[in-house]
Amino acid sequence: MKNKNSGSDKTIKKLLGLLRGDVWKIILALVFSGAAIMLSLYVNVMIGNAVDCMLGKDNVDMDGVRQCCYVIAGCVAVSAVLNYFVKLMLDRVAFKTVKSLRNSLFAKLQKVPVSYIDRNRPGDMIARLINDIDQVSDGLILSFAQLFSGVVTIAGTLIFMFILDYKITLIVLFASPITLLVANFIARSIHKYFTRQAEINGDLSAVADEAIAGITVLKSFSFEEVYRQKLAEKGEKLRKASNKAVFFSSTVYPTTRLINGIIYASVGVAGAVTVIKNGNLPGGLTIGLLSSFLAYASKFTMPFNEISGVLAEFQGALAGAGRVFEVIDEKDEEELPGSDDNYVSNGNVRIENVSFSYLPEVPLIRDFSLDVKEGMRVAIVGPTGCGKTTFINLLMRFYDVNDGHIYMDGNDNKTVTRASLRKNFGMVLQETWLRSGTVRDNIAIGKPDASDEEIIAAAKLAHADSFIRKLEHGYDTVVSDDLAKLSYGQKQLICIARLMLAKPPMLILDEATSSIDTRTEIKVQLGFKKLMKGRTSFIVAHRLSTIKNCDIIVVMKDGRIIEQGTHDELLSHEGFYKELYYSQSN
Amino acid sequence: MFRLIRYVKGYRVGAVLGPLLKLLEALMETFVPFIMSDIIDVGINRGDTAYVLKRGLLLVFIAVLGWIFSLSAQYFNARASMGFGLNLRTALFDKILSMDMETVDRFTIPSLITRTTTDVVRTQTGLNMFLRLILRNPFIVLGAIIMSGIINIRVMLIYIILVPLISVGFYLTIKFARPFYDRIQRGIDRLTAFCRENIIGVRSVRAFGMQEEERKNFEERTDDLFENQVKADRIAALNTPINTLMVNGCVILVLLIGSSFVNGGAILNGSIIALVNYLFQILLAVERTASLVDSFNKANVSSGRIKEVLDYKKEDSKDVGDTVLKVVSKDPDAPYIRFQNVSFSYDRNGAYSLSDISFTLEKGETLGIIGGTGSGKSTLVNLLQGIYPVAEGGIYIEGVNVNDLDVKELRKYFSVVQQKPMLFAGTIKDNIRFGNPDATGEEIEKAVAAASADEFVYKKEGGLDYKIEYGGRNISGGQKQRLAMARAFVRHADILVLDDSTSALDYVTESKIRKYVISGETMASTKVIVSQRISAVMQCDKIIVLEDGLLKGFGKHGELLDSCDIYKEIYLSQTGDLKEAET
Repeated sequence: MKNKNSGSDKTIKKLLGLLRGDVWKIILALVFSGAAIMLSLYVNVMIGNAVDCMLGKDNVDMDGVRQCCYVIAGCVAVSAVLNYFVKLMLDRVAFKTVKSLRNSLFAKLQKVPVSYIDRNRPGDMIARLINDIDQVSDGLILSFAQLFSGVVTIAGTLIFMFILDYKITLIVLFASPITLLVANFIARSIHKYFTRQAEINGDLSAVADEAIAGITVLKSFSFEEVYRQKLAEKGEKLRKASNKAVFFSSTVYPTTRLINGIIYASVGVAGAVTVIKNGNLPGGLTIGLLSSFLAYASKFTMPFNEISGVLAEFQGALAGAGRVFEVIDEKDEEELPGSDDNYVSNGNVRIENVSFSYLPEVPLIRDFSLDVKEGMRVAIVGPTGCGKTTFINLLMRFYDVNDGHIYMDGNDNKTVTRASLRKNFGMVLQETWLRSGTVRDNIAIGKPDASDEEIIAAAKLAHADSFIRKLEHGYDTVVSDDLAKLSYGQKQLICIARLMLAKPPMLILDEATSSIDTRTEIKVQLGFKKLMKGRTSFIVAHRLSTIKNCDIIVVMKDGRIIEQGTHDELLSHEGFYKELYYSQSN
Repeated sequence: MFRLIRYVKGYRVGAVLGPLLKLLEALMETFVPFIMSDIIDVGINRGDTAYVLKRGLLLVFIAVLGWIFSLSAQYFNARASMGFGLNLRTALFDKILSMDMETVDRFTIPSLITRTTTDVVRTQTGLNMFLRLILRNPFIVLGAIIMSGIINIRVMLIYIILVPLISVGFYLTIKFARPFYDRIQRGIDRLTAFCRENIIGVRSVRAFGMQEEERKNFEERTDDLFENQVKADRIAALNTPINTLMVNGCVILVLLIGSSFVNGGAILNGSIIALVNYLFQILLAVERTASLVDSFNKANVSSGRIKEVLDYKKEDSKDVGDTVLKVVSKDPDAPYIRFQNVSFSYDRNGAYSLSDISFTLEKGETLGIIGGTGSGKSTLVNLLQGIYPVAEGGIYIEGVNVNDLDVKELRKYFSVVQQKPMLFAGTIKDNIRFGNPDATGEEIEKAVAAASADEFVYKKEGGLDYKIEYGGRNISGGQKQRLAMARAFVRHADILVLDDSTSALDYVTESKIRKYVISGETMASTKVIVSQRISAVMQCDKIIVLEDGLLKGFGKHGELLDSCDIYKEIYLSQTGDLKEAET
């Protein structure tokens, strides 16, 4: 419990730190807001005074009424203007906080190790970026303002009421907390209905999700009816649970209204009796002032309802802020002091006794050694899960080795900054990545200052030029990853064109042509062949025909190298490669 | 939202009683200032304490009555809106299940999922909110106007002018702020998409050293969002001050005009207090409505998205449910499967994905379909299964046009392994039984072995009883493909279709599975194998070579090697040397 508290204390501290630049703005806003509330409360006294100027037929002080009206007009006008600016100021602070939280979160994502990104689901990260941060601004800044104005209202009405009649004020003061208690009691006793509703809803969403996502399977096995029933069953369950949750939660407001109504009646009666005793004379409680008192009494109870809502929202916001800071406080990926930031590779890569695993209890790559000389073409083959892609992760330093070393031109790759190391590699992966932008921008990622001619030449080498020209706006067509305008194969061709343009010293092709049909692939391979000349290249491929001509073929299984040599060497003896090769070429 | 109101069916009583009780409750609320003015005008002015007490008790009684009305109203409202939600979801789900794939594709699957989940919840919450909260406010305004008229008919005029003024102000602020809110929504969508791209492409971003650029792009987007939020706020924040000014202006009017009425003896000061209170009741009601507008708008957007699905009708094709089926009879002499000049385009005005395809296949034969991405392989298989309706030409199974067959009857012919396998929450056994609910334990084990799934299934906790999570998240792509294969193997169907379904498997595993399929041990006699790999189709009885939707070759492996250049090229590219293929 104590830990939990100190956790949220820390979160609050961090949030306050975020608001430091706006402290004066917030204080000013609060002062303004307090002034606006007091002014609007004063209006009620003035209305009472005006009423007191009207004693009966032919007994009305018209000048007095008029004067009260002037004061009312002044107070209302000033408080309206103040309120407007207070809202603008506070909202602005809230929007700004949201913006800077989002920027820091995103900036952090650019700095954390790749392993961190791999561990977290994208949907979860996006929920933090959008929903949690929104909740922080709604729940903390805006409800804080609401809380403040609630407190000022309560204090202000109390002061005015005490001045008007302290005895009746005591009735209000002691009776009002009952509202809060009752609201709290209801909220606590219905919590379980909400939990249940949320559970069933989650369950139902999951069923609907998989039924719709798998609709082709559902249809082809004629399983629609089964799912229809499943959903109907869960739907009915949800309906019943929601009925309870929604109904019970909606009893809070009527019940507090009931209690407030009774308080109002008591105050009215007590006040009326006092006025009668007093003879409605100035100096004591009068009819007009009773009306002011009644107005205060109802204004006094109102914030109590809000405050309990605000507290709930506050809790939610703290939880959201906690989730956001959890990411922001994540450690940056660090470079060794004195790392080389301008490394340009000659293409010599020596891997020495490397071991690696994602999870300590599941060893993946074990005692892996390989010596690659400049300009060599290295193929890595093996069954799914053998560690091919992990090897690429290590080469690119998306992950660092657990044991052993990778030497780049004789230097441990940890002495080179990741950014400068990666600049030496051109990479095409099975999973393509296009950024939102034009096709042209996408090709030029590796060489932003490339001319149009260079871009088109690269696209031609990648055999992407002809389909790009057929797109709606040619090279200026806007694409993004989630747009279905391009096929997987076409996306891969664009990524290949990127490589053809950047011409980095070393290449990594991880199933780079897996989605391209074999005939286009041959043509692309020719382009690759030219590019690979003199460049150290690492090629991962399923289709062995594409790697036959490599200088070394490394056969991996279960994280180890089990065979290694040229195509002919490997075929000359019975082994895994031979088996693999003949299963493909039959 | 009201466009969907017919889905409240079955819960109509609640939907009518709820608001009615709400009306009564609002009425109770508007009695309060009236009674209070009585206490002042009669009780205080006459010094009658007993009268004051009696009226005080009446106030309490009214509060209790209001509470009872309110609780019963809430009960009926909850019932009506939750029932409405259930009906809506059921209707939506039924509609989605009866859609053909063309329509599903048009809406996209993620969007259909959001519509059945989030959007339904928002819509039912919207209805509940409307019945419960929003409806109450106009009732109070109406009640306040009527009561003020009872006190003094001339003062009522002020109220009658005030209400439309407030409404216009309300309408104008929303209207002017709206474009900014739309931009804010779009801005958030863009932010989401941008962040997703960045996370998914983390390796590429880092490989190209683009972190800094990505960060700048992101900040541009948040800046833009911030600007729009501030602009929207400047307009929307005007609402409250304007309403306060208008209402208080009316208070001043009531005081000024009222004071001369009191002077003339038309009314007493207690009534002035009541009149002022009615003004504040109106202000409060308006404020409450305003605070609900945002969530109500969300509900409206959601209900629009639901309605779009429910109302969707394709212009020129049959709705599966309404088809009047022709009486059809099989022709034993006809070829088992026949394609007759079939052409197809996904996008009605776009390019053809298949053009003029004709071929026949006899029962018991194995058909291979090969071609590059986008050549039309999957389209051909989808048409055969009736997933998309055939628009041009005809497909016949046992002499019957598939368009004339009941969809369910047609599907009974097939056992399919999809390109992207989908598994469902439940045990491995449950998932395999999906293919055949009556499959015996032995049949399941055999299918698992045939699909080479035995090597991982029995290593999992519980083996065949291992629990697969929703969407098959806890198993790998290759494992999914093999389980989907086993699922298809246990099904009693005449035609087994493997739609490029071994892409995540290595060649050794694939060739094992292929041997089983071709060996004839499967339940299905006729097989269709779609692949990009030549090794997968070489041994088929007939092979179709597709390119750009055209049939470029049809025959056996040996024949095609001689007669079909494309086939030969594919063959060489996958088995021979690159150099051979170049020549």
